[in-house]
Amino acid sequence: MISLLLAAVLFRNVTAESGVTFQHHSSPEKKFIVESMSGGVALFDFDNDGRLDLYLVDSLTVDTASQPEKAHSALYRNKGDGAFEDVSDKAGVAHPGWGMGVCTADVDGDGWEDLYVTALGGNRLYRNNGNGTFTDLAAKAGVTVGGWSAGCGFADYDKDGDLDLFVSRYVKVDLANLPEFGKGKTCEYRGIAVQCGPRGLPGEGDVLLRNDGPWTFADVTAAAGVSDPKGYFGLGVAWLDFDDDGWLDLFVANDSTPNFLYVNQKNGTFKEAAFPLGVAVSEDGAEQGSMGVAIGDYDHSGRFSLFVTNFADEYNALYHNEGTHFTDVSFRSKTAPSSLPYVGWGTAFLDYDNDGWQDLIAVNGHVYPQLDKSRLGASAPYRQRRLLYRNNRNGTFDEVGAQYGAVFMDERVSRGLAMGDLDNDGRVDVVVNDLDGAPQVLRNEMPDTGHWLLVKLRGRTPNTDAIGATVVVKSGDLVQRRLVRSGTSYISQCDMRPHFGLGTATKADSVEVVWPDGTKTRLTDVAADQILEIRQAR
Amino acid sequence: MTHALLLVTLLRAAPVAPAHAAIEVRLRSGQVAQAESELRTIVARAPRDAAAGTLLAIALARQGRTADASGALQAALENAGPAARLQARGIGRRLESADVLLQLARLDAQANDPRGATESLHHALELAPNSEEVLSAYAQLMLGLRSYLKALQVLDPLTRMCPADAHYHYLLGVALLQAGDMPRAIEFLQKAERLEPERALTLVALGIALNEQKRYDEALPLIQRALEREPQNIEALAVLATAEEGLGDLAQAEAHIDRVLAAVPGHHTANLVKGLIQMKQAHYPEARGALEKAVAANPTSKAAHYQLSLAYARIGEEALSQKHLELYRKAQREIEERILQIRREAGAAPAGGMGP
Repeated sequence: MISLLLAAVLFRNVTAESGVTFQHHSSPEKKFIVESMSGGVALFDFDNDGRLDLYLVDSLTVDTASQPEKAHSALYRNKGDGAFEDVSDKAGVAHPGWGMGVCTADVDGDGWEDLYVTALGGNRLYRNNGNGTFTDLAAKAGVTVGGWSAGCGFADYDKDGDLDLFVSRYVKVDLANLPEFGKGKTCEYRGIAVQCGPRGLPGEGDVLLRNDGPWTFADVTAAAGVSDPKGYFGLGVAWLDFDDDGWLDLFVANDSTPNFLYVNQKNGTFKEAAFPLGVAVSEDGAEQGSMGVAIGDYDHSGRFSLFVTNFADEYNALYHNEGTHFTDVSFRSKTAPSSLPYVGWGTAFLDYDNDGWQDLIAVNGHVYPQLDKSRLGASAPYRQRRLLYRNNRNGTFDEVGAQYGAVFMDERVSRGLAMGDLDNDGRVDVVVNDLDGAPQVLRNEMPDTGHWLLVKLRGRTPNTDAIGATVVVKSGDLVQRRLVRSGTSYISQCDMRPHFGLGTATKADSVEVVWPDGTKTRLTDVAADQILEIRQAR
Repeated sequence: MTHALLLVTLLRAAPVAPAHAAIEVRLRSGQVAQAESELRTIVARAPRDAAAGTLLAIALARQGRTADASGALQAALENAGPAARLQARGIGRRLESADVLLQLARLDAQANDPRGATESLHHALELAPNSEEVLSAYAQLMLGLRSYLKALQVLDPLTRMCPADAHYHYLLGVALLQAGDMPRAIEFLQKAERLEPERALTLVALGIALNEQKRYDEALPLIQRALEREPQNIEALAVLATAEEGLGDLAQAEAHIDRVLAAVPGHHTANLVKGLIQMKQAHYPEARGALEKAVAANPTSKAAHYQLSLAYARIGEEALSQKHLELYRKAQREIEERILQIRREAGAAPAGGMGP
């Protein structure tokens, strides 16, 4: 109690007062792996009122698998006064089935943000009708995918102007023939009977869908070289141009198997090169249970590095981008040791104090509730605390969650995380979706933060969000770079508006946008503390 | 069976000298003192008579004179060839003397005959499956032979039979460590450390296991304690450097590595850590050199092959990068298979990743 009273103010849990009553569902015992992985969250502005709305993905259980109405995913409209209104049923997005994750994009370029929900047994592509309602066009568009989809992200990988879609898939499951709980060599964890998998279960290949016109996608997975023939267990997805050649590459976080980094060959194909580029496994060659992925230029190198959350007794990996390859700096950056006991999921680089240096957040929670009956070695229990890393501005971070009280120290079973400025006050907020529980809307109320800039890009049709664009803000000695992305964190969607802390600077000396087609826009002497809208020249 | 019939049977079964056969019969029938007396006469005339020396050792062992038995066996078999030890093994087995087979295994090991030692101990285990001494010797031999699974099979019951014996927990921890099962290795090494807190060997082994689990901050003080006791312990210095490198203290790590490599230029761990540091400093050709040495010292090192594949990739040697990537994958598979087998036999599942 004393520590709570003394906690410094950063995030305040405003879930109850904001009217967010969503509950994620799963079975209490998680006897099957399909009951442990769900829980994406999206922050996006579906009604074009300039405020971030909220979508939380719900899931079914083995017992309720045949009753899709039992899962109620929720769309909350941001009313602008700190309150949210549940508009899921009216919008027609409440029942996507056995939901997993979510990503957003203006797929048809009509200026309205569409919603893609991954699921077990068929994904949904909800077209935003522009009137508060959505229509599922997944089947028509050819993006149902099937199987067990997890992560997703839209990007224009072939530079033809429209947005393509990548979907990671996890494990092949047959709900009628699920592996029996605790039976068999791959259904135990340190001698305790637990759910089976993913090891020992067949993996499911990933899918790349090329946008071929209005609501028409073609499956180009094999031709593009991203089919994942060995069936690695795909989860987090991140499009990024790691080598700055103007073409988007693709990182896939794989659970218990090596990660993928597909290098764009600029001809519609990719070359998988995670091993030689140094992001496939841990520093000593261990395959890690990778879940979520964050991207950030945390050291102002001008390059996007990768932060990957992993399983317990492994470390969350920070792969520093050297331009031509990555170096595992997890321990040098001091982010690794504190992560060892936890199973990490949602994660994001975010500048929570607006000092101009991106900090880092990761949420945790184990997959085996049975652990609470037998705490094992250095492993944390089923419910786990969160991690917040303050950027020390020298390539290292300090884990400071304990300073900020219960929001970080309360033990939960978290999955999806999305960050964004919910109240447009220049301070980055966070929403977390917990497995089998209530989400948390965490409003940033830190006093005395630095100045800031939030950049809303208006790209040319059809990529009106300018997904794939980069924004560079210079203010004094600080040069910061951000990437506009669809599909972030762990199967979630963060605010697409790049956020910049400016510290003591009251203006940005310059703001430069490199649009997805390579054209540039440069503004100078931009006043701080505003949402800056930049429209791409026609 | 009468003495005469037994004698005939023995003579038919193996080329045993009649005198020796008769003495075997006496030993079987409990005439130990008389057998000893006759054997002393034979041994005095022929000190290198392996069969007689073995029988004498058995006679002495049956009287509880273990040290004398050991001396007799050693006198008979020292510098003897494998044929003599084979003959002795046969006698020990026929007369069901676990004590002599155990001593014989030690002589086999001294004679650099691991197959003979293994056979001697197998026979001893058949005769005395619950003998702490035999189990312990078997475990240590299997560890020496890198037969971790076999070592684990006997160490696990040994730790239960002797829960207060730090050495068995240490050996079990080392077996698990070498087999690649770090979480369980740490569990048993921590028990050993609690039972015997100041033993440098245990501290170093626990440091290695914690380093493997990236728990460098926990490993560091343990290794420092080991080095307080044994400042010249090269292995401990290498483990210390590993922890320091992991904690980002590259200068200290390099200083300690230099000391290790001055003493043992081909030291696996020191070269691996040196390679890791040089990789981080983008000194790729130098890293390659160190990592090549690490691989030469331990061709099954997953980490060394992985880092070497990265070093070759950085300097544009794609074929060599690929070669070491494949060797890394092979090592990875072998470790996984070994751990799965250990866990299966131990009734537990591996850690890491989403389940086993």
